[in-house]
Amino acid sequence: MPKNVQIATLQNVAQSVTIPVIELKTRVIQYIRQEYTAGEWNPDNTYNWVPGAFYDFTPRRADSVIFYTMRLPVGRAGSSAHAIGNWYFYANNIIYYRWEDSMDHYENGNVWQFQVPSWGTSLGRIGLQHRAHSNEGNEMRMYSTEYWNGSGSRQNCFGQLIIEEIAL
Amino acid sequence: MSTLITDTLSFDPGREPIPLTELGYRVVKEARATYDGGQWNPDTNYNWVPGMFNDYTPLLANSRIRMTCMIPYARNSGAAHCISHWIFYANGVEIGRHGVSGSHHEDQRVYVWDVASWGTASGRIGYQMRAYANDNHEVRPYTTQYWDGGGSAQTCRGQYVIQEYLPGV
Repeated sequence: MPKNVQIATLQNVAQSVTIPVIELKTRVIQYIRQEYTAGEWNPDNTYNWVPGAFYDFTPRRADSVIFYTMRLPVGRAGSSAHAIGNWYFYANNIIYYRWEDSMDHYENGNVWQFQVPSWGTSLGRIGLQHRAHSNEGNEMRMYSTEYWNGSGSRQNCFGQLIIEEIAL
Repeated sequence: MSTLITDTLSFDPGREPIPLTELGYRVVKEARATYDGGQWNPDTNYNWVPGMFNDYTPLLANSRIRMTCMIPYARNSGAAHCISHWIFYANGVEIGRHGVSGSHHEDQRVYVWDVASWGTASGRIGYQMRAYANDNHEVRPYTTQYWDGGGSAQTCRGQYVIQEYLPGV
């Protein structure tokens, strides 16, 4: 058995598919999936890691990119209709992005996606931190709805994190 | 004749070989559709959102199915505060739910759902949605409320992409 085959293309026996080997270079080399089903998370007015939305990840390569996808539904809660949340996206202690989202009666099934360069092959945390504008006021809560089926009932929502490390 | 057995592939002796173990992740089937049907007016019953579901037959039983839904929507009629309730299904099973709500809310969102294959039989995957109240506190997909500084409703496209894949790594 050869350890390595040097070849320009691969082809099936029926010759219906031809794959240039150079096109296999960009590939997913590590895959993580994490699902969050623990229900509503109540933030306060200090930054904390959002449960289910971070992962302690060790890249396989130093020259790859890390593609982060997080479904993180939110619903307004607290004493004010106007929800205000402050967010950080970290990768290995670096703040890559920060933003604020805010709206009266805010609810959504947010999906956040980011791509960052690998930080090397050591362990690092990647994910979201959040704080509310004020504790129990002007607040959104993760993994929850505000209304449901035309009434004020709160529903637990399912969160999902996928991390794909891509060699370029 | 039909199976190449090797640890790595190279396309250039000067470049790093590609380990076959890193080619396990791959897309095995894809489906997509664009919705051009204009504004959809929901009511207070759950209904399939037009353009946001597919009767899909997985190629494999051990794959993952990722559906990416790109959907614009806007507040419409009755009240400034729009409220809607969304449930994502795969093959008759509720995968998750969330609200879309806000005051004077208009947006274009991308929702991503990633589920295990349900086998190789046809099953419906996609969104059902209802409004808080019929023609009041309502979110309408595929439209704007205001446009170019005025109150005109504009027709918007939606699109979904389904990628069935093997994580393989």
